[in-house]
Amino acid sequence: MITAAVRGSRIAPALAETRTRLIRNQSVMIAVVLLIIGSLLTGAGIAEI
Amino acid sequence: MPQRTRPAGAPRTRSDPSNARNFWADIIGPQASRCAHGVLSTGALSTNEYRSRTDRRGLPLWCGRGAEPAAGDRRGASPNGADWHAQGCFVSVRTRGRLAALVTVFAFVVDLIDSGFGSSSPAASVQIVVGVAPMVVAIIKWRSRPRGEAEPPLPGWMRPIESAGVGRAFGIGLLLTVGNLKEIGFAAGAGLAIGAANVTVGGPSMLAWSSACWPAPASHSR
Repeated sequence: MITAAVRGSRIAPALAETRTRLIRNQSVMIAVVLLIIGSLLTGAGIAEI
Repeated sequence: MPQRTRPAGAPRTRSDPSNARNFWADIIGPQASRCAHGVLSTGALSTNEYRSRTDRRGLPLWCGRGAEPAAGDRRGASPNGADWHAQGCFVSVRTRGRLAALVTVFAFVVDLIDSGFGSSSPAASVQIVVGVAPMVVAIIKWRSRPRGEAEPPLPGWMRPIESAGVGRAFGIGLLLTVGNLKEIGFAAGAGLAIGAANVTVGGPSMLAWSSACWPAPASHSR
């Protein structure tokens, strides 16, 4: 519904560009977040031992 | 606003108990400082023991939690900060309640593991496994990232957004805000550390840990 409303508007090209960038970069963003969380948890676990 | 007993210009010292809170607040932020004083005030740990454990285990987790933008506590605030306090109170209570519940659950689990094995090593192993798992997923995500100029395919978790109606949009919003998946990792780490610290589960110490770990509106008043 929202997509259909935006499709014909003037901001549609900018949104399409943003969407492509988001799809391209989301895996990198997720990887960085997971890497930070994982390294913190692992470090805390190693310090525990 | 924390009590500031240090004279202006005087250096902070870690050995001075009256300056301990401000000392930690300056270094690791008000959240970790409040957390530390919650434990100290219950008498669960001696000062030196608390400092040792905080340095060794708590600090990395609180650094990670502190590195996260405080969007949950400042979301919706007006640019001039007029309604900042009122809205910050509401979101902060919600956030603290959710995270305290997660921390408590993980602490219970680790305490049960420690009690069952009679050692803290199994709990530490669980913590390492919980940490290695997201690192493995991160490596997989990095290696499979879209490359080249071709239009990347829509990832599975974004696909429902394309055809989302009001109901599904509500569900996604609920999952991303209330669930807030990335905070589960930090809550797991904090809960594992607390559970392995032999703090009485369900007692005042646990309540102090859980309630003091997360930001309160007063912590943003500086």
